[in-house]
Amino acid sequence: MKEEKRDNKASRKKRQYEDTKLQTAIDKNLELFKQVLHYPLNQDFIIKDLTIEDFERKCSLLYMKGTIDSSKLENNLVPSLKKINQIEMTEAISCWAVVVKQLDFMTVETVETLYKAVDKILFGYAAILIDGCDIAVTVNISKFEHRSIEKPSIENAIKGPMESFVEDVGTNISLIRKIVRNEQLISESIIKGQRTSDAIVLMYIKDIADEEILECVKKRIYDISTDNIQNLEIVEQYIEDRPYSLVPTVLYTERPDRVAAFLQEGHIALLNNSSGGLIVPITFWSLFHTAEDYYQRWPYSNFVRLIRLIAFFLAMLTPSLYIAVTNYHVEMIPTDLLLAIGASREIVPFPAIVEVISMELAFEILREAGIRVPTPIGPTIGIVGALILGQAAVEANIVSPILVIVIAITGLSSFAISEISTNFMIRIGRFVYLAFASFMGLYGIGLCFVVGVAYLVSIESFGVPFFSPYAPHYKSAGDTFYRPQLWTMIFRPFNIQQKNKVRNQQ
Amino acid sequence: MKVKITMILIMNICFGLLSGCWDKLELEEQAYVVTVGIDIAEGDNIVVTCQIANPQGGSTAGSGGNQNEPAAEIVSFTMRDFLSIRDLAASSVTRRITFTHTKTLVVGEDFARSDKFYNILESIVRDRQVRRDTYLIISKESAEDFIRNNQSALETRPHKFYEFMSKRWQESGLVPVSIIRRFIHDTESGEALHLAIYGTNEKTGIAGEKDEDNYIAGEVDKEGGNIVQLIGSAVFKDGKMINVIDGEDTRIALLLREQIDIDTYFVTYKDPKDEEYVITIRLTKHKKTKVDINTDNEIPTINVVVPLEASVVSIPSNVDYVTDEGNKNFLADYIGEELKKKTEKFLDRSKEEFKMGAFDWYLIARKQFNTLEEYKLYNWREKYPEAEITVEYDVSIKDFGRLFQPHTNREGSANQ
Amino acid sequence: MLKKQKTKVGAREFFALYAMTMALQFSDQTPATIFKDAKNAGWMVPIIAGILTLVSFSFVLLVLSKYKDKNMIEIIYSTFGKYIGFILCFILFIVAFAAIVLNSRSYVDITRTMFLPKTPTNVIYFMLIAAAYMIGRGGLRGISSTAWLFFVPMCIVIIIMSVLSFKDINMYYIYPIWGPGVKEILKVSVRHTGVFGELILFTIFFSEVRSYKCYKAASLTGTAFAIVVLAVFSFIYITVFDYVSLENMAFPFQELTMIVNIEQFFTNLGSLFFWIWIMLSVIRCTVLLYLATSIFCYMLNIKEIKPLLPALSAIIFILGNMPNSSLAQNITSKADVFYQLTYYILLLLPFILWILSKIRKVAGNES
Repeated sequence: MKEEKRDNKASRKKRQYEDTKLQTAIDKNLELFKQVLHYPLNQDFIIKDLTIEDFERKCSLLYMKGTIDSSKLENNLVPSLKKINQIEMTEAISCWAVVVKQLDFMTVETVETLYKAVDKILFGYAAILIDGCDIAVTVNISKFEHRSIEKPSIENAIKGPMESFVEDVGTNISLIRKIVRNEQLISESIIKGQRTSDAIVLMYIKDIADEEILECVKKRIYDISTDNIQNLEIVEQYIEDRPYSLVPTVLYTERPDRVAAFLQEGHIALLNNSSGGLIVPITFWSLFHTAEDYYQRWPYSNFVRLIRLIAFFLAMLTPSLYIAVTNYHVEMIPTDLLLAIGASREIVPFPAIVEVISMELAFEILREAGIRVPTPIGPTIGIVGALILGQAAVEANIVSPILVIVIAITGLSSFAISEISTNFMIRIGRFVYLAFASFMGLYGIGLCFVVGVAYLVSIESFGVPFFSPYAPHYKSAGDTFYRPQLWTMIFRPFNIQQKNKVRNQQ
Repeated sequence: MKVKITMILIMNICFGLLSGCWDKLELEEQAYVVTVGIDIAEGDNIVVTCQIANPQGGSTAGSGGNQNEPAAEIVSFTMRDFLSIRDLAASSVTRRITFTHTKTLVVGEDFARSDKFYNILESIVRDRQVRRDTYLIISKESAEDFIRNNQSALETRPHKFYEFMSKRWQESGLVPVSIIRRFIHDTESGEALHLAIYGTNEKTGIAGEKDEDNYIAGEVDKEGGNIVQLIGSAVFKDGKMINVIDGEDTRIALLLREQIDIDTYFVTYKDPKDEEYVITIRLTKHKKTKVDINTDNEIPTINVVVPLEASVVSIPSNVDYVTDEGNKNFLADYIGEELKKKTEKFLDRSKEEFKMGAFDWYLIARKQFNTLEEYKLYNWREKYPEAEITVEYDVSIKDFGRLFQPHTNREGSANQ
Repeated sequence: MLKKQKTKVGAREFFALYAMTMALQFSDQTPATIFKDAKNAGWMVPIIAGILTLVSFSFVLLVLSKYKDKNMIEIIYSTFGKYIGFILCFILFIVAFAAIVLNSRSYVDITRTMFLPKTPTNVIYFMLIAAAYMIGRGGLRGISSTAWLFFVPMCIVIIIMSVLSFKDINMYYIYPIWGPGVKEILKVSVRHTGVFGELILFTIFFSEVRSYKCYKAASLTGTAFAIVVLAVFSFIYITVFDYVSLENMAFPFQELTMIVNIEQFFTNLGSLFFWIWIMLSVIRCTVLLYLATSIFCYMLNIKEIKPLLPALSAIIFILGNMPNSSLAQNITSKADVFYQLTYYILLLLPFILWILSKIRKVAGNES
């Protein structure tokens, strides 16, 4: 149903000059380029007339400022063009072949249509037009500015690689190839639409990745209807299984080592000029685990996983459990605690549910503000918001002190879940539980929880059940809640692929 | 389909929120009854006393709590049935009465001796809020007086008093740890006396010379502190109180039960070798009591061996019980004999006066039969008063406290 | 390769389905009905009834081993013919349907009496059935995976409950060992073979399971698990409460959760256990709901099961809400009728099936 919709949207406009062939006369060609690239309105588009000694034919170099490396242009390209032997040039059947030959130490491509040539220019190529040739020679001298490789900012780790993806696909691929030195590692470029600029690089290990899933991923990418895909963060929303669901079905990570680990298990990675990569298909465990789980020693990482699991539940259920217990099941609270809560609640004007919702909202606002605020004042927000607001609210008897603890624990626990989508899922899901808790207490929470789990079970990411290989059970290394010792993890998860079941042993 | 489901969900939630949350009640709107007292009143009525914990009383939280408020509010109502207190209380108590945190049920002795008691108790247990492990205390005077006069300086909050006291009971064994569930079970089984905690807030003074444990409530000679005393037990037969036994008999009853219901307790005896002094001994029942019951004959025979470990804590007489093996055995036998004498007296009382045991022996007798039918035919309840019971105390002296030797030095210094 | 396996249910999930539906009866009114007659020997009843059911189930296995991808209904149709087959299937449907109505009603009763006394029954019931329906939408594979996910929590609850109740146990309560007498125990056991009725009813799902081997392993281990859990909990109930008190107890599990405590600080764990219990129970409800719907669909040869789920849920909601299905009646009259109805079928049907299939085979060989 969803697929059809996507197809319907795919009614692309053809550009006017899409089929225009290049002409033989250079003046005509130049006129075409000038028209398409809005010369001289567009200051970045440069047309440089070249004069090659003893060579009468007119020659032009076309490029876009800001996409090219000027040192390459000045030091390599122009000098070597100047050195072209004129005799060869005149004798050759087609002079573009001579140029190609002369420049063979660089990436050279010949194009025949205007459209492709323009595309190349936009991509940082220099186009060489020669009078009398209906073919343009394009030379790659591209250089786009991007960040240098930095530490990951979301998926922090104490131990392990500290590199993260940058906004350059070449660098990103290199970061992965550095870890996976495997002849089977394929990086396949999928060109979206008619423009090479929308290319998405698909990486997978050929003898591990499942073809069915690969086909499925490719199909979904081809089905993307929009023309211009800015980056992977947008691709993610086009290819995911359940666009309306709270549950993510694609993993976004900024760590090359994580991508590499996923590739080894038969997942497929999507890269682009984005500061992150996408992993498909994923399971609940992909969201639950972190890269560091594998770098820390066995007891430590399992301890951390346990803590994270607890944090997961606390972040999701604490406010609703508080409401359920104080409003429906007071018998659960030890008498002393009960009286303490009672004493502080007595002077609070609102019912507990209003208290919780208002404090939750305040906390979410605080969180959003903390992200959007300019970095220098960031910490101040935290202090003002959390400390002063909380303290003042309690002093003013607007909320009870116990509630501040509840909200603080909830917030703190949610910070322990670093995966962004999961984090949102829990933060929003919390309110659903809250509604059920205030409606029917633990009964409501219980039902809601089971339905939630059953819903998660029913989700499939690219055909892979969300809770597999745990439920339904598939043979795997058993790396779910518990992380086995690394040397016992010989099986690749069978739910992702079944081609190459055992990890490479020599 | 998805839209449908969301619609159902949304409708459901709206439905819930609009029509109100039926069982929802804010925590501070409830009055937590910590102690319930029941007394007999004129006619068919009963007096129900509720000690309601005041959250703000005794709290140290600085959040606007008024520390000058009393820790509890005590209200008494006269009515026909227990559970209607929830409605009746609405006439004066601002919050809804809740029994979820009730720790103790105090019953006036007069009411406990009446026929109505058991029915009322059963109706209490039927309520979903009342916990089955609520302690059962029988007060010598009215329960209302008992609750009103129970003012412990150490525990400002009333529930703490019972919470901590129950731990002391388990240690000393002067009081049986009696909970409603056991009471109901003993009564339903129709084969066992139930021993309930006996207490009072009136000091009656000492009747004759006493050892350290043969008091019943009110007789303990003490000054200051809380005037409430809890010692000894009220004896219930078929859900009706019939008598009171003192702390010593309570301990014996607990020792005779097979399971270990009593941790460690101190006793003092006249020093067998030197009548002027007393020796203090700490007794521990370290193993299960061995109870052999033979039901082959018309008259059942019961053999009981109570294993006890004794630590002699003080020997003021300076008789050498420590190194002298003979003296040591003599002391052990002496303790056993003393206990046996008291036990036999109590057993006679149980057979002749109560005509029922309080030692869960009927369960052991049950084991001798194959089917319930056979057991019912044997009619243990009728047979018990005629049973031949022999009790042995197997006392072994474990240690002598922190001393190896009698304190000879002190003897010397006393002579100077 | 993935696709093909995905549609079938694996051994573990199917085991969880068995374990959850049969073993979870320790927490509802089933023990109460057992203790009513079997008194202090009630702990033997699950064992004997379980073994009895297993014996009759072994005939089913014999029959199933011959039909590789047919489910029970198809087997019944092909063995008994169209008309008798339909009647038998209809009886099976009634059994499954009665099971879901009675059980869901009993869960609502427990919830209402113990935890939400003022909430109207129909609201509690609606929530329960709605939740069951929503879980049921995941199909057999979704339900069984959910059951498998909750299997470990269930084991944890069972272990925690047994450990916590350990100090309240009095071993003498189980004596006299034979309780009301051997004959009576056997009689009660036969009458309660319905407890393990799912064992026979789940043959409906035979074609949904990966292989015959999977099915056999899952059903046998699942039943063994259920027998152990039911026997252990019956034992705990008896040794904690004694049969004299148990006779008056409608919900022994809930009573037990109210007694157990961790030190003196967490003294009332009833609600906490209730919370976990309702999660497990709603899964059980879902399984029964899906079972009834499946039988109905197969019986009428309807291919798609899911579209019928809401209709059946609605009918169950209406039936369960009928005013006369009050607690006391639930336990006495209806349950008795239900059990009587089931035990004949469950004990005899497999045997007849087996004999008939033998005869058919012989006849087939001769011709």
